Amino acid sequence: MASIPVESGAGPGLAISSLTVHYFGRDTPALSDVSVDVRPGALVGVAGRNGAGKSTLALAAAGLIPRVVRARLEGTVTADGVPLGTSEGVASHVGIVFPNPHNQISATKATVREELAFGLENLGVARADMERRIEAIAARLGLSELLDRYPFALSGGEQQRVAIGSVVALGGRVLVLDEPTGQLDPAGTETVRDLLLTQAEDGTAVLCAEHSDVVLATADRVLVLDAGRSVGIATPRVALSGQALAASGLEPPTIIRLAELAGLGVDDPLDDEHIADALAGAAVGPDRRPTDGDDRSATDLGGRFAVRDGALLEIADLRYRYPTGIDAVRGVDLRVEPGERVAIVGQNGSGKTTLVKHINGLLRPSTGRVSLAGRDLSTIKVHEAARTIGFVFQNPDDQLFNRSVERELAFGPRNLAFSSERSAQLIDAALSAAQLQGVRSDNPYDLGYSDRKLVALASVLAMDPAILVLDEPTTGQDGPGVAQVGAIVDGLSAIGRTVIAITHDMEFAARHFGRIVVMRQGEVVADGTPEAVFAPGQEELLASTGLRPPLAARIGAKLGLGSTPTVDALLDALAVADAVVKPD
Amino acid sequence: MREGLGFYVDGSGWLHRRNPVPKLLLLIWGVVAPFVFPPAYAFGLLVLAILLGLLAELGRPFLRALFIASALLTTSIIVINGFFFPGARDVLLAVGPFHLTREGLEFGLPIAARVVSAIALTLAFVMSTRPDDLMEALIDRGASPRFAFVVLSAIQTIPRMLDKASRILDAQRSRGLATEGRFAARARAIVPLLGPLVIGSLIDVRERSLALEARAFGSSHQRTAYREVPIGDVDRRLIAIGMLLFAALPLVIAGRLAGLIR
Amino acid sequence: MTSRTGAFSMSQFTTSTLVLMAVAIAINIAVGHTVQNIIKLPVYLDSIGTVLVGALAGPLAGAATGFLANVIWGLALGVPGIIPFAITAAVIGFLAGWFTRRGAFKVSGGTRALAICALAGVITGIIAAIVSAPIAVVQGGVTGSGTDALVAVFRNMTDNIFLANQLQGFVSDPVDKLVTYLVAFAILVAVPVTVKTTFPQGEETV
Repeated sequence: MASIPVESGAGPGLAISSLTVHYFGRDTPALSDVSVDVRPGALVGVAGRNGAGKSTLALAAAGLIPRVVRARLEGTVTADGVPLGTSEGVASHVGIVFPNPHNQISATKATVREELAFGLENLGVARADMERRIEAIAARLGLSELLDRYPFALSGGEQQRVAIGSVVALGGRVLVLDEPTGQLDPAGTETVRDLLLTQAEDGTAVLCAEHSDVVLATADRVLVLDAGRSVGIATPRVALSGQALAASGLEPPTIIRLAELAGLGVDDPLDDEHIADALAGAAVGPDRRPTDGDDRSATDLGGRFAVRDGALLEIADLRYRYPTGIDAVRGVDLRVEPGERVAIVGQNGSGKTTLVKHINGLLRPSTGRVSLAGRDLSTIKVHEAARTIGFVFQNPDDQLFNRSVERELAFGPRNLAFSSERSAQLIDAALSAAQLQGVRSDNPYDLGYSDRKLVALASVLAMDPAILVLDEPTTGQDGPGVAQVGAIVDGLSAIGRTVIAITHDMEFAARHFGRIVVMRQGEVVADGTPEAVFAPGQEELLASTGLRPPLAARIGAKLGLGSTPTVDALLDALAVADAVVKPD
Repeated sequence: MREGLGFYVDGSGWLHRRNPVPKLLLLIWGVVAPFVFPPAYAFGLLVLAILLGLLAELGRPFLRALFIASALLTTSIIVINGFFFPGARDVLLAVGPFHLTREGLEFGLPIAARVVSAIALTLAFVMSTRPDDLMEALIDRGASPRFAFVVLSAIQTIPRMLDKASRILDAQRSRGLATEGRFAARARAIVPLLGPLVIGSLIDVRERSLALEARAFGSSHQRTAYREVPIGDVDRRLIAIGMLLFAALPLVIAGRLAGLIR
Repeated sequence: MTSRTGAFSMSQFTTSTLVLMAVAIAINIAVGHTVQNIIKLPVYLDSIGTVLVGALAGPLAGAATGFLANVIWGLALGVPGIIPFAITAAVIGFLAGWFTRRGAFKVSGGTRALAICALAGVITGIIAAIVSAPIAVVQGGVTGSGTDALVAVFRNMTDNIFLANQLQGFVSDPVDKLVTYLVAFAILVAVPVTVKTTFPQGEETV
């Protein structure tokens, strides 16, 4: 793909020219000769695997390298014509937003209104002026209804919007974001995406490093980075195509795969309508089926872990009331057969986490009963239940504390007093299942967030659980990380283990789970196969708990193909339809 | 109680409307003075302190907090001194081998009064004073905004750190860690529970510092304040009174040394 | 960082240090809660955040953290009685920074480093006891915690209230600080070098 020429002059917007960044003590530069130009009004995405240099680019673009983050920097970065070298006044020209919502709150203010004032205070803006700017920013960014809330009481998506507001308030016309939706649920991701689009429309130059195709697909252009080098920059349709990404270790997002299959024009908008229309007209025969590696098969765990029946899990009329008086679970019946793969979905606060915390005894039912292989769980201690049930929490940093990946994996087996041979064998098996053999001696905290999540998962796999419970296993994961988790889920199921996952990722749920349980306000409102739960006509029920069917299901429904929750199902349905319509 | 403001309780009473500076000044005096005045005065100040909390419309939450904060300490002071006062002879009550002595009580009770009045004053102060108002008022009087940042940020971080500690406890128990039972087993739980708390927090420091820098926190501009913390005539008079009260303390000491005050 | 700042240099107070101080104050409280209420061990460990700031940022930052931690704790929990012990806490933070510059947390230093660490913990505990005893006497010699029992024991053995508190301190403080230092050491082993070096004195803990 063609590179867009870089303006050497310092015009409005963000101009990065021949940027090379070398951290001290590293052999290879984090970024080599990267150039990108973001004009006012443009949203430019930056894609790449974790470690490809996206964060470094964002830090440099925001003028934080080398002033705050020490590194050697060559090339130039200018924001609205101002070179962002070592001067400290950059905050009023360019703002930056980071992945973790709660890390960007100053933690000194009692309301969003005052939070928005934090930077203005530091810049010495007069009080009357502050008030005016806060009102204006809040109105423009849709934060007005949040102004009197306590920042830490907001949802992740709301916190990210406040974070954007608090840097935009400083007056810069350049906005840089480093994976702003990485820690958000789909609803939060969409609100942040919409805000970025509004910002761009208002004439701000927006540079956004991202994994989420929800954001990338709406960018004007996408810069793809691989190992610190620019692979190229083009429209999302071109930059994220299978061909363009081949070398970078990334796989095209589903929306791009479908656009490619449909033969959607390079300049056509990337939305459901256009893709459905194009697909309806395209012949998608078996010969056009992509042979991409995205459908990586289940990790074969049979040789490494013993084939073992998971245990029958029965939940009967479970109710749970928190000491605060909130009824989090209100009468749930669930029977999970050994070897089943169950995805639990539903908006935040629908009771998913409260429900699964009963499975290993972290919570005790207020009323009702949870039993495992016929045995009532209420008498079993959590650390004893760990012999049967593995539980991986959302944030890997809440459990990692060892100096090497291998030691981290050894922690669980040691607690369960496994023999040293069995431990060693399980650790090897878990490392290989998560493809972490290459980093077994590394410090987990030297790895990226995606890999830390895999280490946390592997550390529970090494305990050889019959039932594995995963809380948000794909949040914060890059594409290959999601695929790895999916392969482990499939692999475990193949050797008889039960997997139960809470997830916001409907595509992940539809692809790797045979059963979807939909929760709303502490109750199960739908329970069935992906085909049943994501069938046409279910949209309203799903929306009532903040969900939307996966893209393939939406397109299948638009084309009247029945229920097609996965891309494979969609393609099969299209092929059948083709055969019916065009019998030659 | 309002989220993010520590122990502050919403209100509009007289004490709530005061500027934090005179309140802080009088608080410090009120905590120090009982140790300067003869022991008997402590009981008077204790009554005043409790009245202050009630007059400030802090009501039941104030009394409840006062009871929780002082019960154990007061009991401890009275028991340790009452029963274990070195050299005491005048036994009031014998409980098995332990003797409650008059000397011990005479020593212990005023100390208990001092401590409880200090607790009452402190509670009246923290329940009627927003920490952010206190910090703005102190910055106004020359305190460093960076110091104020540490204090305010710590107050908001405490409940979140306790939440994190509880998530870590769940995660490690789920990995088979026993947190009850034999001493050795519990001791082994220290590093798995404290490690993620500390390391995860240290990791977050980098992103939080960068986010602060992006909000011009390290800037050399003269900082302005968004929060207005009014100071009225009453407050100014209270500051003057506070100064006089402090000036009186050396006189009290001199008076006690000269035997004029007992 | 190759050049070492002075023990009393204000350059210890970088933005990272300030964020760390706030976090450390919260860590002190969360750790104190976990150790005493959850795993119910007869130690406090509630100066571990202070010790870590001293180690990573320097003696002055450690001292400031200890001081503020006690003041905030006293105010936040309504126990003004612990505020005077802010002086002890400041000394503990300062010593942590000072001992770190003498290798107490040189985690790559093997057994020798561990021995220095243990010794530093014990010495810190003894100094803390010496500083605390006169403060405790003002309050009738008690803190409202389990160590009060020790005070009672020692009062049975001596006629001197001050000495009883001193003896109590000499038993519990060195044990607590020894464990605190060793746990801090064990945790610092697992903190990546890149994270340590974001702080002014982080190099000393590599």
